[in-house]
Amino acid sequence: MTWAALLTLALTLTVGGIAQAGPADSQTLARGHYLTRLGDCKACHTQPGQPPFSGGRAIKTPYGPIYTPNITPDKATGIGTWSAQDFYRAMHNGIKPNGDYLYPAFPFSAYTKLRRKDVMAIRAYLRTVKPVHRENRGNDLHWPYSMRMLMGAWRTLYFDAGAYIRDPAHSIQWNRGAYLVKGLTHCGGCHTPRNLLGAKKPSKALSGGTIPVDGWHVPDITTLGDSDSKPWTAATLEQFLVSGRSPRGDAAGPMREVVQSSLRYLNDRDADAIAAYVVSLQQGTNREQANPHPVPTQAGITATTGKTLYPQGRSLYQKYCSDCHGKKGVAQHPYYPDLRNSRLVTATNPDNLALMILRGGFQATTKNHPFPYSMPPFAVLLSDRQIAGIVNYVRSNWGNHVVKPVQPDRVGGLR
Amino acid sequence: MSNKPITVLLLFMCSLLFSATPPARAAHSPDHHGMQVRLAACAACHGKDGEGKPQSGAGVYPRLAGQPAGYLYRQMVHFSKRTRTGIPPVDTMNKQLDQLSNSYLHLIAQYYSQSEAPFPPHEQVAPAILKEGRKLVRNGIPSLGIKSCTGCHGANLRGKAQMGAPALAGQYARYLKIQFRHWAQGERSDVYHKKIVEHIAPARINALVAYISSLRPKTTRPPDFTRPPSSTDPEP
Repeated sequence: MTWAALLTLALTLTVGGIAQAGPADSQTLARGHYLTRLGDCKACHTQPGQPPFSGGRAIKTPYGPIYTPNITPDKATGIGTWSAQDFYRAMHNGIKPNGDYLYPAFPFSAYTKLRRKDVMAIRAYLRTVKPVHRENRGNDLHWPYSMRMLMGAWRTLYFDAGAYIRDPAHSIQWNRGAYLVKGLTHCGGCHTPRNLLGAKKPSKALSGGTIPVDGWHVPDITTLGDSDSKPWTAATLEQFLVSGRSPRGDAAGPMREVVQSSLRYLNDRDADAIAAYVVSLQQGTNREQANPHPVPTQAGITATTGKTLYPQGRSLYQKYCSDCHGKKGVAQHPYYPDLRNSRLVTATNPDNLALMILRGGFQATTKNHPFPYSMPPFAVLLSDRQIAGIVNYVRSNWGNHVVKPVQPDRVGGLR
Repeated sequence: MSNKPITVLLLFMCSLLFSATPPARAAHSPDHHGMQVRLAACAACHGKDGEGKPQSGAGVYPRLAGQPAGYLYRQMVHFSKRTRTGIPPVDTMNKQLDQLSNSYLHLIAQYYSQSEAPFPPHEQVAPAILKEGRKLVRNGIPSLGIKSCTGCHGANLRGKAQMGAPALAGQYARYLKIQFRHWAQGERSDVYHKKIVEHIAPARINALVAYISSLRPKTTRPPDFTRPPSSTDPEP
């Protein structure tokens, strides 16, 4: 064996490896794959248990369910016959090749911000996924929302097509973050409140809302800096986005799903950019925290109301919660969230805390946490009254000072 | 010295090759204790060691300890893919298992499969009922074409991994009855068990499950038992 022979072998292997990866636009495909993940296309366009991108998942809206279409390259039932311009028009203008208007459950009002090059990369990737023959299902929207032509009026009122325009007053990194948040990752889809007709309120961008139908309260992300002890920084936020964990709590409910299916794939540059952009939006006071200026008190609800509401809260907490979250809300191990200084615990709206106790569940699965920890779904073990007791106890102790108690029927409504 | 440029070139190409191979696994698998603390969500109904927590769930939730790992894995996949639903209060199992990786599901299956949790004392049942149940389990009903339970579930009803059949011995009677109801209503799809529930009177099904539930196998190790590999927990 000579060096020359080894060299030939190495060359053959290397060239072979490159050839296998595909033609010259393998870079575009890789980029398209990455962007498709950031857009979280698969999450909505896949029915659990069915092939990826073959559609059929019901998106619940206050106007009735919308069933996502098949976006695999199948020619008969997917988007295999769509031209590049067809695809761009759907993404940029929200219009189907036959001229029909798409409903805004498809976030075209965000995707319109995308550069054409990025849209084409996404298309290139989607054309490589396995074609699946699966007929689209008609929507079950209530009248009059079922009349697609009404979307014309809606668009006149609420939609402006147009790609993101760089703001020269800010850095390249900030602009990259804004481009992603407003466009591809469509954070406003949940974090911006909507009006009665499902349109986002631009003046209140990213200031939180309630996800239609599912009950989770979406936090305001323009006022993260509410705590002196463990403030959200760009680093904390970046950690939260890619891992679903942070010193201020774990991603729960729908946000856990977004971390799991999309944000965990963010590369360092984009994660930094999104964090930098969101941190720059901070406005100081937090309208959402029930006690922005806590009044020191040891007895919480007891002191306020003069009597203890749901007195079993304390003993239930010690029995069911303290093993993991600690006797005083300070977790015993780094992998369980603290209940002191937790945004979720002290939010004005108690629903997320109650939902977390009711439904429990696993943390997000990510590269650094392949085997996540979990919390029991207490809906199977505890009554509404018992859960309300725990909620009230947790929200009014150890430096948490929420004074307005939660009633059992509110917990019951979330089951 | 004349070989130096070639060596550099080779090293560079080798680095290209290795960068194309999949990265080594990010973390070791958690050990037994690591799994126990991770699976708090499961323990709420199935108990810390998969014993099924009879005192609070009253037998609604099955014993998982000692089941063939392959069976447990397959059921979890059914739940995450929504081919099995209907677990109270509202599709709880589907929601819990959403988005867990395959490798994690295998670890969870292995964890419960290897558990040697003791059986609780079984309910007192009249000997005549147990006798009838035993006869059904061992013989089936040949005139109706219903085969014995032991054929698929093993002579000791401890499951047969190669047939994908779960262990039955010592399983909660109430849980087994609920499964027969699910087969009847189509919540679980299995033609064979549907036929059983359609052809056998409820009283005889009660005898069948009472007998199965009364069994106390000498070992809980499932037929596909493999000793767990020694491992270190990625997160203390």
